[in-house]
Amino acid sequence: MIETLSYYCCVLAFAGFGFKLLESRHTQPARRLWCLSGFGICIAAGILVLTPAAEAIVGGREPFASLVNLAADLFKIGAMAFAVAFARSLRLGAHARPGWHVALTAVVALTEVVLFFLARTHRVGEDTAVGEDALWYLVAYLLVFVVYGVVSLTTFIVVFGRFAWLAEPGALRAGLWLIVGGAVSALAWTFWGIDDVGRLVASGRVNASEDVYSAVLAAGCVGLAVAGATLSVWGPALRAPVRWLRAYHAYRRIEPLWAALRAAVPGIALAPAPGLAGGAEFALYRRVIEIRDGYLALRPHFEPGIPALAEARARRAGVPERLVAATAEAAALAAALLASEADRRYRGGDAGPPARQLPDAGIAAEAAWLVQVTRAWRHSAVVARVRDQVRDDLGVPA
Amino acid sequence: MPDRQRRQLWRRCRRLADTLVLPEPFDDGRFVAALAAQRGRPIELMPVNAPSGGPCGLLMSTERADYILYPTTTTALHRRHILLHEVGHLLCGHVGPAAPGAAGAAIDVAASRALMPNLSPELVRRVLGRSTYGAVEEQEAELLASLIAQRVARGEGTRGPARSDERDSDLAGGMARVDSLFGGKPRRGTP
Repeated sequence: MIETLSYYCCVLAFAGFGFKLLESRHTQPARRLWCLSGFGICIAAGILVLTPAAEAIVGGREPFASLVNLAADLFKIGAMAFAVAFARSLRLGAHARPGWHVALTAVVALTEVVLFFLARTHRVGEDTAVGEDALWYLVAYLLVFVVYGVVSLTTFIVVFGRFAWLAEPGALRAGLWLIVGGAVSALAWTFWGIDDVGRLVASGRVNASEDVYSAVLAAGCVGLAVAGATLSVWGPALRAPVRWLRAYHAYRRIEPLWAALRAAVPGIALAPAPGLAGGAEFALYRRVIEIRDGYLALRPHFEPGIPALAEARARRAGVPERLVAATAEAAALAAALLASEADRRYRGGDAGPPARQLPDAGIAAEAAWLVQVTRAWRHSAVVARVRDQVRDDLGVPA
Repeated sequence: MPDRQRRQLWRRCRRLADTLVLPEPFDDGRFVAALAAQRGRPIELMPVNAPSGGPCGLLMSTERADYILYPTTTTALHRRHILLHEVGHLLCGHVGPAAPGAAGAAIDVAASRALMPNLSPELVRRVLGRSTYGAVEEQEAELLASLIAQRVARGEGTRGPARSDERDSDLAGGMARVDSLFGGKPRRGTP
């Protein structure tokens, strides 16, 4: 399992960050792209050198077997350094000077190399053991790595967390939070090194390869970071079925109103678009437009007094305030349909139907409004009473 | 309408809709102004309180200009659609009914006289009213309007990456850089 997870991480890191590099090669400064590619290469290499396959290549020969651990940690330090430089390049611009973190990285890398050699590590089976009286050098080595990791990743999380906080809701914000999630996973992965310190102090040995928790946290780190960085590419594809379902749902819910208007005014239907031709969103748009065309065609049959009457009755009947306007519109429409059937025209009807002026010209808002009107038109007791009254007045049979 | 003819109509309208450059965010006035500049003829938009029994949108053309009349007594989405329908006639190069006595033509002419009484009938070269879709020209304009509106609706959900300046070291500059890297690219699908 650990091996599979490790390979998955490497492939994902190379593929995901490689794609991002290709996508943004013409729009981003070279230094930022170097930081991004450096991070991807280092994180993948850091995971790769500790896989059983890499171990098999080295074959347990010293000093290479021990040096593999140093190489993995140096790759991870490199990945964190590139991640912070990347965050800094976004925060301050590509021309910003290398910050304190670069100097810190150089000092930490040098310190780690010195401490590692002072510890005189060697492999004993699956474990790394230290030389006589050199235990505390390896303890210091592990602690320096953890402290550097916490400082670097916290810096990264603060910068990206702020961006995510300020971003408007949408794919960008979601992607930034995923990247922050990846960094939190990396932080947990780094903290997991404390476990090695405890084991080292207790037994003088430490596991040479990654354990299952480290592999899971590494997978989480790479997976979330790549998902966040590429969300703008695959996010819309994920939203398409949701949009289709929403449109289809609204399309079906306004069907009774549309069918009634189409029966009353057959000319509103556009023949070349039967059913869902052009997709659910297109079909919904057509239905909304045809309903509004029906409203305009029924203009002479709208009784100007009906909306106010229906509104008053709706309030008296305890209809929630947010549904009163839709109920009044549905009542006016029900009355107009009956008047059209009876060929009764009203003076003042040319002022138009009580089409509520929605705040924007978006199809979603308009469809949502018509869903409310359709519901009231079908189920509201207030609309039913207005319909019965108009039917009696006009002598239209039920 | 036979299936083959219907498919051709869809193909023609899709091709036309795909060639249009739509302003983002979409604005009726800017779109029509750009089209007028492209055609080299003024297009005047005239919101009217259309009389009942007449068409709910009207395109009138004179030697000098094209006039698009659209009703004020409906929702913003519907107004825009009616306007796009009349623009569809212009884009398709429709000339109106061949015979002055054709169905609907007399109603359109009567409506145009009622709405623009000061305009001499001799000056009017073309009148196309949006009432029913019996004529192929009306079907074509209506389908094209719907396809354009669909592209407008899809464009509203997506936008191009923000322009970023690498010299801005403040938080807003950082946000713009983040947007340009992770914010996505404009996409335009076709229904």
